[in-house]
This record gives sequence, structure tokens and C-alpha cells, in this order.
Amino acid sequence: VRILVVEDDDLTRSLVTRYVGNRLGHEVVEARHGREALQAIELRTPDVVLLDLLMPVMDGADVLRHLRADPRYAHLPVIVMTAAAERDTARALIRLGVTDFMVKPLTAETAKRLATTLAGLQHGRPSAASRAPGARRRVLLVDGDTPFRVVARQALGEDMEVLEAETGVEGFRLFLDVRPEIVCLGEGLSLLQERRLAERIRDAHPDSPTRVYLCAWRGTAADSALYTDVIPKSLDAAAFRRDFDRIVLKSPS
Amino acid sequence: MTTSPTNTRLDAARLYELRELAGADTALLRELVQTFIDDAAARVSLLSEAAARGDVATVGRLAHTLGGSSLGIGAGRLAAMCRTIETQAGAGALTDAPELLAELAAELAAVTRALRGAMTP
Repeated sequence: VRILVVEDDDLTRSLVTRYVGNRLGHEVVEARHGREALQAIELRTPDVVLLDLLMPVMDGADVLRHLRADPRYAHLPVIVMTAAAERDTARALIRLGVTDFMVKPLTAETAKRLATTLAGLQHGRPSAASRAPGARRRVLLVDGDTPFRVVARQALGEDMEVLEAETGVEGFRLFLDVRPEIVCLGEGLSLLQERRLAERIRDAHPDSPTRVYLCAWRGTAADSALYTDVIPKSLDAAAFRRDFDRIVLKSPS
Repeated sequence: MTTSPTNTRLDAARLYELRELAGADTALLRELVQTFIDDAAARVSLLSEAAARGDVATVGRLAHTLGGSSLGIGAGRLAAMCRTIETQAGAGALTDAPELLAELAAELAAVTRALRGAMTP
């Protein structure tokens, strides 16, 4: 995997680039600020960008904004490296289309998670960031709402295998490939509408039915013939996880 | 390990963790320490200059970056001081800046000595 590390702090940049390059064996390119990053991307598009936020010349949010506005880079995976104190900005970044977050500084724990994420990208699987080794539950999340998918991935990814699809067609293909126990469908799916997808899932394996949930903003009623239940959407990962545990895992809230 | 405690001058556990992250790259820790010492000293000078001319945006950014690298090397107390300066700069008030920057410079000198000591075989 070719990785662009964008970070103005020499110590952090050295640590991340050497870890990713020497320990994990990926190809690494460095940039010290946002403008350098955009130039490096124009020169040769990386497979993933590790992006600091607060930098001179051009900050990380501006880089992300530029990338998402350019059709060539609209889907380029961008992992924002952030200090815990910067988590308040997470919502804004999610709206800008961030792929994932990595909390700084790089520790044994975050390094392990980063390694898993990059290995997943190397194999070209969706939602690579969410597949922790030994995960027990497999959840397929089909939703065209990218900010919500990022939040859901953060909420569930620690202890579940989360696979993602943006469209109904992609979701059904993934369903047939991975046979998840739990499927969460967003509203307004393109190519294959969620009701049709739910029907196809129900009919695909009648002997071992998959639980299919509708993820919807509060106030939506589910068709009980198609859906096991409704999980309220939220852009707060903790709130979504609480509802998921209560409704899907039947844990006390 | 997540972050170094805010009352710790130099967290030995963090240095150990950095060594572990470096693996066979045995020169990395020494390079990181030298990078930190060089960069931090330069940033404290720039911070003082920016504070003297009332440039709160630059003070905030420099304090943020120095705080991040301080956490990275395991200097929890120094990182906490940087956060205080960053917060004050964010609020547009640098009234305590001379005292805070003097304390910051003193803490950095102590961290630098501790790091050099830790790197001595």
C-alpha cells in the first residue's frame, strides 16, 4: 500500500513513517503541510492518506475539503490523525468525508489498529478499518450516508466485523459473499431499494434467517414483515452503540 | 499505554513503547529524541517571539504542535503546559504568557536533560 503521511511535527511524522514503512513494509511518502500533500497526490495518487489536522500553510480539514471536491479523489481513503482533545471536530470531519480516525500519539494499541486498517486496504476489502482479529459478530451495513457509516463503524468496529456497502446492489453481493448475522439497511438506497434488498436477503437463506434492521432517523416505523426492528441513527457513536446494544444485542441500556 | 500522565516529566514506559514500536529499527528512538530536542527548543523560541508580538494564532499552533510531540516522547507535564498555552491562545488571551513561557522553557530544559540521561548507555 502506498501511504502519504501529512504531518508538520517531525517527531510524529518520523515515528509514523518509520513504523508504517519499516515495520509494516508499506511504501511511504511524506508531506509537511496540506499544500505539499496536494502536490504529492497530484504527482502520484496514494492508496491512503494519513492526515494531521492543525498544520501551517494548509490544514488537514482544507486538504480533505479539496480532495472530496475533486471527483478523482472523492473516494481516496483519508485517515485523520488527531489528539484526543480534538475529537470535538470529528463531526465536522465526518461531514467532510473522512474515512477513519487515528488517535495520536502512535501507541502500541493505535499502531495495531493502523496495521489492521492498512492490511485491509491492501486486500481491497471494504471497511477494512473495522475488522478486528477475532471479531465474533459480522455486521453488514448498507447505507449511502457516508457520515453515518463512519460513525457506525467507530461504534461497532472495536468488537465486531463491520462490512460496508453504499448501494443496495453492492450490499446484496456482500451479503452473499460473507453471510453476516446482522444486516443494517439505511433508507433511500440506490440501485436496489432497501425493501427489495430486505426481501432478497429474507429469501436467500430461509433456513438460517439473517436479522435485518432498518437504520433510520428517529420517528420511522419498521415494516415488521421485512425488518427485525428499527435502529435509530445518530452521528454520536456512543449513542448509536447504546441503541444497537439495546435493540440488536438485547443488552440493558 | 495511552498518554503520559500530566504530572510526569518523562514517562519511562512511553520510551519503552517507542523502542517496541521501532522494533529492529534500533536507531529510531535516538533519532526521535534528537528530533524532539532540536524541534522543541526552536518552537519555544518561536513561541516567545509570537507571544511578544501578540500573534495568538501562531502561539496556539506552535503550542499545539509542541504539545503533540511532547506527548509523543512521553513528556506529560510539558504537554499539559502546552495545552494551557494553546487554550489561552484559543481564547485570545495571553496575559500570563511571559510566566507560562518561562515555566515552559524551564520544563523543556529539564525534559531535555532527562532524555539525554535516558539515552546514555
